Amino acid sequence: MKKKNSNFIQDVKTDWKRNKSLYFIIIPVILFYILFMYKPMYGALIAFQDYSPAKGMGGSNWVGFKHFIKFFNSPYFFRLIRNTIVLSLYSLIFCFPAPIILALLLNEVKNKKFKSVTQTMTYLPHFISMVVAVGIIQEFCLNDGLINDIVVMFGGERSAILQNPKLYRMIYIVSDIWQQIGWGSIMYLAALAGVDQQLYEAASIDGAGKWKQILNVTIPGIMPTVIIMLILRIGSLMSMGYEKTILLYNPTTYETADIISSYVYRVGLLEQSWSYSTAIGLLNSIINCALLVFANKMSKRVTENSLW
Amino acid sequence: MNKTYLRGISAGLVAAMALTTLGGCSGGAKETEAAKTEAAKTESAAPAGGETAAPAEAEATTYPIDTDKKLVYWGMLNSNVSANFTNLGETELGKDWQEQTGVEIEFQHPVTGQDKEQFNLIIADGNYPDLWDYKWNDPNVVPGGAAKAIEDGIILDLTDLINQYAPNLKAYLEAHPEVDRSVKTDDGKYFAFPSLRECDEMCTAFGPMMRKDWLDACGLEAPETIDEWHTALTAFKDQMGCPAPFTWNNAAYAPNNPIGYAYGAPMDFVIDDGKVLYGPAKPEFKDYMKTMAQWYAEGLIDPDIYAGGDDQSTAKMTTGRSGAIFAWCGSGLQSFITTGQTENPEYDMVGLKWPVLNKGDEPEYGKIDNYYYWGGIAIGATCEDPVLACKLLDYGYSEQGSLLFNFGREGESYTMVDGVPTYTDLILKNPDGWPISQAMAKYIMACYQGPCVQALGYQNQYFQLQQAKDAVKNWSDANSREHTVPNITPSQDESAEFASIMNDIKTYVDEMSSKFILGTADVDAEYDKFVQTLDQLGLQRALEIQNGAYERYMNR
Repeated sequence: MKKKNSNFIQDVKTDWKRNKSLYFIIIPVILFYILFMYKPMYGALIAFQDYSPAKGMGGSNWVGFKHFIKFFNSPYFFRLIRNTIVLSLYSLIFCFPAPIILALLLNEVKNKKFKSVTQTMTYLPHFISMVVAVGIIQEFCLNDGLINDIVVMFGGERSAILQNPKLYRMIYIVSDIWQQIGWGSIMYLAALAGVDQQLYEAASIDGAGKWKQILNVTIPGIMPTVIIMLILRIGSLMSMGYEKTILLYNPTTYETADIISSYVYRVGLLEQSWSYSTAIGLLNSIINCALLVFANKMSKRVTENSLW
Repeated sequence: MNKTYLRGISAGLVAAMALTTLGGCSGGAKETEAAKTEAAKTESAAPAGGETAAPAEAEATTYPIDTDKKLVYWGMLNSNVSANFTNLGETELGKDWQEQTGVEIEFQHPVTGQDKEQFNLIIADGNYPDLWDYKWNDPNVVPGGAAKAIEDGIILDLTDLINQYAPNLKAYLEAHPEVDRSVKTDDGKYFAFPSLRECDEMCTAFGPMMRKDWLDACGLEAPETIDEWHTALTAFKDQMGCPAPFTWNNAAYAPNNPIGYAYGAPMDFVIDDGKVLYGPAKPEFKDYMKTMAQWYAEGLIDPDIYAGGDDQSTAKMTTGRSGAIFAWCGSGLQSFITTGQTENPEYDMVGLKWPVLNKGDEPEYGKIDNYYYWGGIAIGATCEDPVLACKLLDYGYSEQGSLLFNFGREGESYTMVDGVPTYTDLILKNPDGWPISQAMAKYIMACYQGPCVQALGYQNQYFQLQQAKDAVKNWSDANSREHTVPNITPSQDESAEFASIMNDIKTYVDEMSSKFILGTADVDAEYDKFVQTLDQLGLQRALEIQNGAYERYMNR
C-alpha cells in the first residue's frame, strides 16, 4: 500500500515537472470552480434551517424538511411546476433546433459576404442586455406599439399583448429564439467545419444531390455535437432563469408566466425568506441533476453518444 | 432642466428608501418575559431606577461641551454624501457638528453594500461604536429589532439617559405623544436618537395629480369625488384626444391607488376603529374593483397599465398621452412640469386631494408616511461615557442644532431672511454644478436622515415649484394618519410568518385585481370566492399578527 502511494506521488511529481506550464494555465479555472461553483454549494444548507443573516449559519436553528413541505403545500405549487415544465418543453422543442437549422442554412450559403453579414446580424441580439431586450419587446407589444400597428394594418384590433396570458409563452419563446439563434449556431458552424470534405465528394460521385448530402453527410457529421448539446439542455430543463421572466411578466400573466425561479426571486429576495427560497432552488437543482443523468443514459443507449 | 430632473429622481429615491423601510415593518420585543427580567435586572442594578424613578428634571446642556474625549460614530454614508466625500467628517456638517458641540467625533462608515456584513463583524468583535446609526427596528437588519439588541447587550437602554440628559429630545417627545410612542420598543424603552419628520406635509410627498391645463381647457375644477374623476377622465379622452387618460406605475404603487383610498379599501392594511384590516377583504373593495373595471372598459385607464413601469408612465404623462397619475411629488409632479414645459409651455399639473365618494366629504384615507423612519443613532453598550454621547446627540433637537442639521452654516449655506432660514444659491444653484441633493448633503443631514427633526422649511425649499408645495399640502389634508398602520414591531418569529403568508396573498391579490380590472374575471361572481381564498391563504393569521403588534404599540 505504502509503496503504491509513493509511486502515485512519484507519478504526480514527474507529471508536474513535465507539464508545469499546462497546470499553471489551468489554475485560474480550477480556482473559479472552487470559489464560485463549489464553495457556494455549502450555502444550500440553509434550506434546512430557519436562517437569519444576523445569526449566520452557525447560529440559525435547524428545521429539517420544513421548507420543502411548505412548498409542496403551497397553493401555487402545481401552477409553478406546470408553467416551468411547459415553458421548458416549448423552449426545447422550438428554441433548441433553431440554431441548428440556421447553421445548416448558413453552411450552404456560398456568398461569403452575405454569410458573414447574416451571422453578425443574428449574433447581435445576444449582446443586448436582458433588461434592454425586454424593454424592446415591451415597447413593441404596447397598445400603440409596432405589433399592434401591424395587426391593425391587416384588419385586426388593438389589444394589450403582454396582458394576455395566452400569448405570454409565445412571446417568451419567439423572443428567445431571436435572442439566442445566432449565438447558438456558432457551436454548430464549428462542428460543420469539421465534417470531412472528402465525404461530400464521395457522396456527389455516388449521385447524391444537395438534400441527400445534408441528410446523409452533414447531419450525421454534427450529430455528436447536437446530442451533447441536447443532454446539457435537458439537464437545465427545469432551471429557466428568472431574469427574463421577472422583466416580462406582470400580475395579469402570472397564470402562465410564473415559474419556479421567478417565485424564488419573489419570496427570497423581495420577502427575505432565505431558507424557503433556497429549499425551492435546491429542489429544482436536484430535479435538474436527475434529468441530466437520465438524458445521458438514454442517449448512451440510443445513439452511443454521451457526456460520460 | 437637467438639474431639476435629477432632483426629482433623488427625491424619488429618498422616498423609495423610506418606503422600503416602512415595508419591513417589524422587530420588537421577542420574548416579553425575557425583556421583563432584563428590565428587572436593570432596575436592581441601577438603584436610581426604583419606584422613585420619576425622571428627574432633565438638566440643560451648554454647548460647546468642555471635554477632550472622542466618540466613535458608525453609520452608512448616504449616497449624496459619498458622491463627493469619503467621510462625514470631511463635510461641513461633520466639522460644524463637532465644533458646535465641542465633542470630537471619529466617523466610520461601512463600505457601500457591505453594511450588513460589517455590522455583524462588529457584533462578533464586541467592540461597539459609541454612536451607532442603524435601522435598529428593521427586523431584516436586526432580527428581533431594538428590544432584542438591548436585551443582547449590544446597545444601551436609553430611557433613563434620555429622561435625564436629553432635555431637547425629551421636550419634543413630550409635546408629540404620538411620535413618542413610535420611537420606543413595545415595552416602552428608548433605544436611539430618532430621525423624525416635523409635520404631516413632510409625510405626504405622494399622491394623485392631473393636468391642470387640460382641466382648464375642459372647463373643469380639480376633481374631488369619484364621479368628478370620471367626468374629468372622460373629458381628457374625448376633448383632449388622450389615448390613456389615467396611468400609474402599477408594479410599484398599486396599493396607493387613490380610487382604492376613496372606497377605503386600498390593496394594503388599513386601520378602522382601532383594528387593522386588509383592504381587499373589506366589502368596499368590490365597489372599488367595479369602478376600475368600468373605467377600463370605457378606455379611461391606460390599456398597458400592467405592462409598463415608471419609464412608461413618465413618458405618457410628459407627452400628453396620459393626463392623470399618482406618483411622487419630486420625481413625478415637479419633473413632469419641468419636462413637459420644454415642449409645451402651457403644460401644468395640479396635486389633487385624495378623492372621496360623496361631494363635500372630507378625505378619510390616503397615503401618508410615519413621522419616524425606523432607524436612529443608538449608543453602543461599550460606550465609556454614555452621558456625553447622549448630550452630543441631543444637540440636533435643540434650536441651534436643528438649524445646523436642516440648514447648515449661517452665511454660507443659508441666510436668515425675515427670520426664516433660507438656502443660499450655494445650495439651490450650486456653482460647481452639483445637484441640489448633493449640495445639501455637504451642509446638512436632514436631506437624508440624522439625529434631528426634519423641518418643513427644508422641504419647502427643496420643492422649487409652487405646484409641488401646494400638492403636498393637498395630500396632507386628509384623515390618513388615523387609518395608516404606524411603526408597529411584530416579534422575530411573527414577522417571518407574516412575510411568508403575505407573499402568497400579495401574489393572489395582484393577480385577481388585475383580472377584475381587465374584465377577465367578473367581480360580482367571483368576489366571495376571492375573500374565501384569502382566508385559506392565512389572512386571519396575518391580521392577528398585525393586530397584536398594533395593540402592543398602542399600549406603549
